Amino acid sequence: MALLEVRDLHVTFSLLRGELSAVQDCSFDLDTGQTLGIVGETGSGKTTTALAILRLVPQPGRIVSGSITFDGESLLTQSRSAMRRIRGREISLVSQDPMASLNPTLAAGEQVGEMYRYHLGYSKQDARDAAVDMLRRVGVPRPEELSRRYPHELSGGLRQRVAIAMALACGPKLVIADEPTSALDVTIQAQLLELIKELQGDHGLATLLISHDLGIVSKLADTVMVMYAGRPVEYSSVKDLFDRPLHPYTESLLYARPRKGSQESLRPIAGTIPNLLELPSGCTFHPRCFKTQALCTTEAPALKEWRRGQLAACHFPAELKGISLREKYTDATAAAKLAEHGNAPDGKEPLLRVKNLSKQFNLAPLFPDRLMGRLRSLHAVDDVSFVLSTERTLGVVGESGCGKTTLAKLILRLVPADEGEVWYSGRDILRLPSGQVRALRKEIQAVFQDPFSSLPPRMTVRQILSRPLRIHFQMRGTELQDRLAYLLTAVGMGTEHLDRYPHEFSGGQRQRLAISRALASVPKVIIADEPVSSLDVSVQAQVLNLFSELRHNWGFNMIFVSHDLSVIYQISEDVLVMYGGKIMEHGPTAEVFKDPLHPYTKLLIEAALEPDPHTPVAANRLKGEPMTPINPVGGCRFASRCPIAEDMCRDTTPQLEEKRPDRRVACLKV
Amino acid sequence: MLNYAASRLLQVIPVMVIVTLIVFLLMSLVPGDPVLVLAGFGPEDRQGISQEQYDALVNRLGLDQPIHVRYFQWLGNIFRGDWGISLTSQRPVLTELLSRYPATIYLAASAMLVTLFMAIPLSILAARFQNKIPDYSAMSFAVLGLSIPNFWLGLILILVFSLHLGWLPSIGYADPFDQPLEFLRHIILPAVVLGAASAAQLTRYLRSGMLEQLGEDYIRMAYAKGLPELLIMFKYAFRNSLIAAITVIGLEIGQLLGGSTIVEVLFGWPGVAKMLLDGIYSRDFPLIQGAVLVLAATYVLVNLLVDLLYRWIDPRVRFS
Amino acid sequence: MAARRAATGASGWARAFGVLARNRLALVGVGLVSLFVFTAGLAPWLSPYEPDRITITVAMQPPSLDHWMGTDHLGRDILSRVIHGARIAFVVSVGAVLLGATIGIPLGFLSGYARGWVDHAVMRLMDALLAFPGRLLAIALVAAMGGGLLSLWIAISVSSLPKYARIARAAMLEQRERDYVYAGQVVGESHTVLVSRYIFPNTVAPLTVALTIDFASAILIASSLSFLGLGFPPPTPDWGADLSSAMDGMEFMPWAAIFPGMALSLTILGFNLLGDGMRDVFDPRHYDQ
Repeated sequence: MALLEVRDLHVTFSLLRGELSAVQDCSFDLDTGQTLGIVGETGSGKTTTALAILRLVPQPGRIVSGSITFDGESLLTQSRSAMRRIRGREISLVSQDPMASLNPTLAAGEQVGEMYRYHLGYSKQDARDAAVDMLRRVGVPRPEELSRRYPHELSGGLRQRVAIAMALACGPKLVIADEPTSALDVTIQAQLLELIKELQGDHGLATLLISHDLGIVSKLADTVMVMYAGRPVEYSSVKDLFDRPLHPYTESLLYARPRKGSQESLRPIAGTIPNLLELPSGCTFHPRCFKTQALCTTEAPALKEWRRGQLAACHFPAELKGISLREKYTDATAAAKLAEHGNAPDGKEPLLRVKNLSKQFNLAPLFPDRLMGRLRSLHAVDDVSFVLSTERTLGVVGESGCGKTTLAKLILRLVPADEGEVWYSGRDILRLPSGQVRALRKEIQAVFQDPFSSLPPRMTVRQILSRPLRIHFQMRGTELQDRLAYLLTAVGMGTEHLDRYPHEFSGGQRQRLAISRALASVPKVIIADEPVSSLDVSVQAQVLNLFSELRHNWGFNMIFVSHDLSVIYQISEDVLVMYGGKIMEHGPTAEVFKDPLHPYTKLLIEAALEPDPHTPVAANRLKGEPMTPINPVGGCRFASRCPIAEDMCRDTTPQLEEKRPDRRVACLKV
Repeated sequence: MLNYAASRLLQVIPVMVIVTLIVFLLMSLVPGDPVLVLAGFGPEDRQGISQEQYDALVNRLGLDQPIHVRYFQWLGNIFRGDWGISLTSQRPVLTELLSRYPATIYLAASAMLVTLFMAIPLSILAARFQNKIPDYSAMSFAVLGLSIPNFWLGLILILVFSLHLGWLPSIGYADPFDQPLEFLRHIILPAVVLGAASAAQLTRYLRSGMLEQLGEDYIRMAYAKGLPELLIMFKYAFRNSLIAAITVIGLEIGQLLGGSTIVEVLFGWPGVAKMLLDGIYSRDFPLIQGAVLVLAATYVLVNLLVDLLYRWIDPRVRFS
Repeated sequence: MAARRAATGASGWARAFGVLARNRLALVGVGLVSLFVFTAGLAPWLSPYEPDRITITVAMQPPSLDHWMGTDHLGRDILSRVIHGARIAFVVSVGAVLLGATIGIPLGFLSGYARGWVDHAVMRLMDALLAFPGRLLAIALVAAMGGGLLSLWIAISVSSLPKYARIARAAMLEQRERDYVYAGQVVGESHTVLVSRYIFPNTVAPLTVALTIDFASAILIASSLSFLGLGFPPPTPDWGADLSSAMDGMEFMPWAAIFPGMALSLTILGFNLLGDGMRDVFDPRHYDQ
């Protein structure tokens, strides 16, 4: 008998608009020492499943039917107080955002100590000592001191370590980890995954790992359950799932992510994630599936064992019946697509020239400090110079706080620069008189990260898209209407959307609208700031493909900012790696990824996870956390984390120099 | 923390400058001849005053000086402790006000106690039993408390507890150190009347603060940790919403000081606010200026202390 | 997801009224406020007697069929005075709220949009106005200017001004940092269009709530001032002043102290309930259900 057995779990939410089934027909087993990964996108029901095990489904949700057996006992029939003793002691939770899940007004050590006090009856002093011990075991440096700190005084990675310490304190049998690393930077994520693996080995726990990220799941899980619209669609061992997926959804997910070694066009999943209140008939995935047949629209498939130990809810599982995605997109079609777009030509000309751009933000504007000349300033962007050439998309990549978003805002003149120049068509646009800025706006456009906040909520699509057309071309009447229709078609939408408000669209659709607004003035340059990072994987691929397609058809150039290496690899010809407000490396993407010169670039590429269960997590050599450039002194910004740093790196500031043709690196040791 | 305290103190200065300016300029709003007004005469008294006497008045009051010079002279006098002479009692305004000041502070402090003793239990009950009977009762109390003007509440309570039942005195004052029991009997009604609206406001604020906290991730985490429910309610939800409410409590003290004007008049409570009203009725302008200044300065000071307290208690802002 | 779907668009308003209609207390508020406005508008036709007609022969009568709310010490009909009191309260509160809002809101917007020294100057001035506790500033102003409608308007609006300025400024600051405002800038919008079309429509909700609740506080301050004898001269039928004069004979004619106070409290209650209801309507948490 397995440690955890879930059978036919059904969870609903009673909303004013009706009863919503968040989880349905969900069954799985989990043994001691094993890790089950639950994979899914928004609304797949993966988090609700986890909370149901703890009986913490929030109002107005409730568990309608099914059974959950843990260690031989049914959890759904336990009394409230018995359940309280199980939570934290037998089954514990690590949740996504460690800032939100820690009490902001209690010291870290006390929050860990509570586990010992209320479950094991320790005295206050003993609990404090045990907490410090536990913090040491999860790799918190200087645990005595840090246990007295409050959550906001700790970095994201340390907060998640505190949360893990809390989860392991009472030696539970099962740990539920709900997106444990999604809110963290890549390098920190790699550190934590290593920790989780190590602790699993030490404690022999069962782990339920919930994630949208196939990369993480492929490295940690033994078995995987894929969920879609509240139901499990595939359930199998991790190797089978990644090597020969059965369900078309699983297969599509695997191909929707850009891969490190490939720049060919992505194979996105059509359509959007369904609304749980208006589920499609038959198989819920059929409107988006690439191999739908008549049967799929009428009859919902049950989860069935197609191969030994591999279950799928599909009438026509891949490779067994009908075609698979791999066959549908043969390499020939991909090659044809590339040929159609044409390869990036080498005859590039400089279009936008950024020279010595710097921006500081003053912190702590307290009067006495200012009086004594003690200014704390964040050097968000520090002496950045580069050239954007025609026909080359420039990717800007870095971890949070590296200055990439500020850089985008500076070039757009949304934030005034302290120093530096941005030359475009013979003029320094940072010094244009305000009367001429409007003409510049026509040439340089932007797409922002969060499509939920980048469209004005009280304007219709028609109003939003008309504004640039009126401002820059004084269009009106039928000319305007024709152009609106053309713009919408260009991004894969239609005129029926014209009189709707932004909130009526999904995230992907909104981002399409934001893109069509940027296209309206037919700009020469589009600056895109993390345009896909808030979208689900299946939708990300659609938007990325749209960008590459439009770029070739409309002939604009792009600066594409992202924290995601594989996205950058997929979309950009050149890449700029930033750290602590400075450029570390700049060069052609393919070369930089193949042969990174700067130690930071190397480690960043190592830390990124491929969705591949066969290669283990690379031993992580990037210790510590990204630095925040507040009042930086001389020397290399990266020296504190660099594995090859020497004394000279801490004293001498490296200049960004061309170390090889087309490759600029800021490192003394290259 | 010290840095913050220092900068906060420095911020008070411009505010107090504008406050004194407003108090000073109040006089120029008074319709009629400022000479007569400031000397305590009515407009009809102009005939009875000879031109020499009038000129002497102008000179004595400094009204022949430009207005900014007069302001700085007045401000200088305030700092030196010379707040002018009350026109009605002919005694120094500052002495008069200081003798009344304790009564106002006792009343405001008692009303604050009433506020806290009502608001804290009511808000906890309301949040714990959201959309159930305790919640509805507490919220009805709160919205009524906000809607019933304190003078009418005072009238009703006097009608019931003094006139009808005869339990409590409707008017008067006793010194808390000489006659503590009498003092208690006299302060109950005024304190309840003054505190009711603030209690209602604070109940609403604390309740919604608690509900907000209860919806946070860290509360779900606390449940997932298996902590006892009472602990989660108090150490997590209530404690954090009270921290957020500290600034609101500071603002409510302003409501109490302002509301004391009516309550002191209604219950014949001999405080600064009652003196202010008496001054208004007898057109005793030096006294009016002094009383307004004292109440405003008290409020600014209390708010400063509350702000520092908040900085001290909330770890999220303590060190920044 | 829910929080992002803020009260928006045409369907947003339709849904808003749906939420309001489901809230029974808010409906009570709508009823009380309508009754108040109706009474104020039709006072001369509704009141059975002249509000200031003195008839000593019927002085101090308890409620009866002739005088539903009884009579005061001069034999004036209390019901008629209460009805006409609504009119006074209406005129005072509408004027004070409009005056306070038309000065305070633009000031707050300016402060939040311009930032820098403009913001500093405006906010220090508002801080100074807020440094006067509660109703004290209104009392001091009326004391200096004398009673009457105009000085009541000025006194009440000056003391509510900082509230509006702060709400407007906070809404503006919050909106300014939104991506869609940046996006508007990138499209090439002028400052005027940015403020009027991108920012302003999204600040309407908090301001409407503040405006409604401010009616309650304007009526409360006005009646407090009259109660202290600082409002209108007698024999104006004013709720606060009538309560003040009812104080002396309270033992013998409690009705004179009860009915005007009830009218006053119910009116304030109406605006408070309506304001609460609207706050719920604009709360984005109600949208995804």
